Amino acid sequence: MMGARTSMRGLALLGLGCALFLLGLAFFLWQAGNPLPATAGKKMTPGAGELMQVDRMQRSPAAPMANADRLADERAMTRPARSFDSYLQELVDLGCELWQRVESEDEAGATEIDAELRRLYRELTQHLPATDELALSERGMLPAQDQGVRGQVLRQLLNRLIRDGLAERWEKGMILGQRNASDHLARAMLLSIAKDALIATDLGLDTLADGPYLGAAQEREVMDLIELSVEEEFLVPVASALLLTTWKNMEERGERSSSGIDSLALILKDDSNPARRLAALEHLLASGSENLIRLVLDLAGKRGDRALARQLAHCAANKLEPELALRVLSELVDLAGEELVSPFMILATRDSAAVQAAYEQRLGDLVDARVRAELITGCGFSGSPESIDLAETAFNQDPDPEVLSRALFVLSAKAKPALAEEYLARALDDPRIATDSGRIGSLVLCLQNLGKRGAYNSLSRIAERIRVLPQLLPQDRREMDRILQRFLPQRAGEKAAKR
Amino acid sequence: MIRSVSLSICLCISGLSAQDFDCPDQVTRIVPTRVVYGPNLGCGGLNVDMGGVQLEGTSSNCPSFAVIVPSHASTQHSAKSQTYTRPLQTIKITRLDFACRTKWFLIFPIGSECRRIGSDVVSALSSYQQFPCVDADLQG
Repeated sequence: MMGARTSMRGLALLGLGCALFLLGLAFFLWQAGNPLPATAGKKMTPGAGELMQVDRMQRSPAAPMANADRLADERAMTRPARSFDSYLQELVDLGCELWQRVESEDEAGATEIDAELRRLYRELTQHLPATDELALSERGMLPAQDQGVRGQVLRQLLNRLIRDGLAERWEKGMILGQRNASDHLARAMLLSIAKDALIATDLGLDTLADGPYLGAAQEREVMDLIELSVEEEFLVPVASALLLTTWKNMEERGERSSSGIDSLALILKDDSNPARRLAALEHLLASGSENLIRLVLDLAGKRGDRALARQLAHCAANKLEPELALRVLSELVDLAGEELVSPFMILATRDSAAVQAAYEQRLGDLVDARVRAELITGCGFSGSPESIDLAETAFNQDPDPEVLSRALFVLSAKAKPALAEEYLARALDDPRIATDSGRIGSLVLCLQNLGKRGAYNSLSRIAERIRVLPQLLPQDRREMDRILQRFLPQRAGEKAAKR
Repeated sequence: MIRSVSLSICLCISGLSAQDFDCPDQVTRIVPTRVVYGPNLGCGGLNVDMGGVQLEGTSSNCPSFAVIVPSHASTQHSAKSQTYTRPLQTIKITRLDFACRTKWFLIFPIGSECRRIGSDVVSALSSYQQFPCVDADLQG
């Protein structure tokens, strides 16, 4: 009897235990299905997501900060609805204050305001629908000439809202298999671009160009911009970049075949519209096909258009394989006119070893003196550790005086001052340099590099030697005096008093 | 001077005018300021005043460098222009280097985010002045 009673009590306790366990499990599942209000229904824009990710990274060492932010978010959820304009107003106020803090180097204050800005931005994008469309509407009304801090902050804010909204629509569309999710906004952006050069850069070059958003759905608007670029010159590079982007995306999505776009580009390469022609030529150049590149270079040579040659050089430096780009640049050097420094610098940033090898090969063959000069400048300012050795090699072995001048710029800017002075002194002993007014002018400008690096004694000694050269142009003498005045004001004053 | 003397000698020997015989027919052509930006670093916008040249980078980009070629007068051949050119001054081509400072600016990439970290003179060009060939002869 006693045993039966004990087993009954045991069963009752077991039942109670099971009931409590089930209750606990139910509560746990309910919690999991109902997240905290701060994260519930969050609109995960890529921008906001990115911000939140940064937030998390920054907050991880300090948990109380995370709690404070979560509380702030929770408070925000319970606030009455605010208008878009009211958010903009507050964000711009904070942005201006942030600007002031940064200007006054108040790092702690700036960090604090930045955190508040991010929180408010997140709140805006979470609580109001279609902030990208509202921002685009505001952005279209912004005067281009407003370059004050407030105007800049507002512009940046609106651009950011548009960019984030566009990216969010695109990514959502990708997830849901709706590739046209961002089409409407992208089309509206294209319609705003012709307003002024600044909005064309912000929305065209910075946002839509090279992005995934343009395709067959926007081809008509892009073509309209191409037509408009005949009257509005600032639209030429923008419309051209947008057309290239449209073609690339259409090709990738299978909306148009690769051979179809090549054929179109071949037709448009002679087009009278500069934007369409530029896009066609850049497309053919970037194809990497030897035949098409040859065609483009021949055409550029026939046109003799320096600006076109420069644009093609930049396209090649940015987009082609370094070896191929070097061949293209070498052909464009003479077409481009006086100098082609930037494309060689871009290429050297991508592959300084290839640029160095190209110089050494041409020096060995003693060919392409103008290309050798650009290669020395490109490599010399690429930050490559070999750049000083290469400049020394150029100075010691290259017979071309322009290459020597370029090597001196590298040495005066990058080598140890004593070494730089040694080479500048040797240049002054070289009649190819010391009797040529242009080369002497270059030596004067090398003094500025020495001065910036604090090599005042070297600067003074070399300046004394330059001063007595009869071929020194009066304007260059004045420039040298300005350099001395800037870096050696006391000595410059003494000289003036003696004179 | 040498040019003028040679012009006079040619004039005496051949009986032709200096303009017909030795004038190189060169003219100056104003080349506007060029600013070329290097690859983007992808941080904030740029707003720099460099010797009167206002650099306004794109709103969301910071170039790794910018090369400035100031406005100058280049020389070129122009048939029957009866002018020649000679160097007036040397123009510097400057490279400005930039770096991102992204400590705070996640939303507002303005000005200070894209910092100029240095500048070098990387090359030079001659700027020319144009003269009538007749003057050269008269000076001789």
